[in-house]
Amino acid sequence: MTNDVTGGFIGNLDEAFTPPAAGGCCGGPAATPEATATEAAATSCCGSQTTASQTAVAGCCGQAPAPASEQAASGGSAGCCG
Amino acid sequence: MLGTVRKLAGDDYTGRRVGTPGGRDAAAWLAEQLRELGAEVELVSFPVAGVRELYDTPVLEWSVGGQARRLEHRREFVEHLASAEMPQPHTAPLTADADAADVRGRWVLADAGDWARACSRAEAGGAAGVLMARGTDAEGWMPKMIAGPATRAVPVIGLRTDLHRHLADTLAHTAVQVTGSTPLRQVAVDGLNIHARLPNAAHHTPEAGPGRPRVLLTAHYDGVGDDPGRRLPAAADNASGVAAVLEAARVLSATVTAPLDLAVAFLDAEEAGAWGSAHHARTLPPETAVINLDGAAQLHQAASVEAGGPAHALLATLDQAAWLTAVPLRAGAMASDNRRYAAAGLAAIGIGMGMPGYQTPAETPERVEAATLAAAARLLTATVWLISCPSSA
Repeated sequence: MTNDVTGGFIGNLDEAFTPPAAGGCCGGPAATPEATATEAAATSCCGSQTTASQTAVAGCCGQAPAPASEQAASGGSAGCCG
Repeated sequence: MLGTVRKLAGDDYTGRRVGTPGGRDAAAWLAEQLRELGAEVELVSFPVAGVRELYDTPVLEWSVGGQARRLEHRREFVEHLASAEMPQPHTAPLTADADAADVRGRWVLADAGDWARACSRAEAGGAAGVLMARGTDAEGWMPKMIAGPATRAVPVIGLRTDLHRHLADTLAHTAVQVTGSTPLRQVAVDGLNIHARLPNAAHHTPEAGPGRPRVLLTAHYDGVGDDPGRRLPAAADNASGVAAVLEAARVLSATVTAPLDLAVAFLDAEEAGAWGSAHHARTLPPETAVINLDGAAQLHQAASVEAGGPAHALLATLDQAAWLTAVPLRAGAMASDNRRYAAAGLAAIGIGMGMPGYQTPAETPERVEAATLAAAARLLTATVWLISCPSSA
């Protein structure tokens, strides 16, 4: 069987233990992989609004994080789930 | 699977917020689905504190020169989770700068930057409330959350970024009156986890057996709940994950003949801070391997995968299963229930396959892709198969 449909891991398997944070959305600190949902909610996004699922996808809310310049211009809120 | 998504996202369950009749009814329905698979099902209640409940539609309106403009909730403004409760609309002049000498009794248009510092200044100065800039998602919605930081002493409202800018420009040359309310309170409720131990096709009893692999598939079934007068169906997050796990459980219970202790948990209160998994993780044997699915609605390039605890072997098996089922994976942050299990010392993997319309009224069943549901169910099924029959890997 050939793997011509590109299933499986892209990149190093071990990176799953230290995945890239979800963009540090809103210009704030990103939730660490060790953070629980509540901790992520308190610290990660806009200082207030990230919940567990929010960082569950690449970028906040399934979107790519906003450019840093845009985040700064919007008070750290652009691109991140409101 | 789409039928499951539509059922859970339907009007009857009102967005499935923890502690609501809709949430409890959804749990009862899911328990019945699992019983129909021959599972031993247990519903376990646990306390949840600090859940934000929006009990009325917030108001935000400004008035310039006698011309009033009323804004649309969740499109143009949104409650901030740190907001103090203000049930009734309060009208007061707006001042532009939280550093202003006198903010007493006024709404404060917070500068861009640290919202917490703006709140502190407003609290110290006796302000009526704070308006801060907030962005939207790509479709112009401000997603709903129900877990957040500690409540402040002042009402806090998020105002769409362009409107915040407009208001700042207006305020530079004329007086503005603001009327706002934040009918948001914290409630303590009971959550309800569903734990099911599944039989397999060889009619092994679900009791634990020495040397048998133990696998737990999890997905949270709760949502953030409907707004007053507006549906938030929570189809992607996480009716989709529940549907895929339920389908995998159906296939596995009908086909696996190798000795295997397979369980499914549909978890409550993830949106409130992953309380359900925190409660559940403490009850599991340490050798349990946990696979959590949060979002199975729109797989783009690859599923996001996060591993925690002693999950190296589980991760390698998942990789093998993904290879066999042609599902691409990549490392990605999954701040979901899987972290509670990993924190309890279990091998735990979180998988995410997309959440279109995340926590907004646009998170509808129509946006959940059948192909993504199928890919998620196949991936879970193949992973458990490989665990149960290591020689097939």
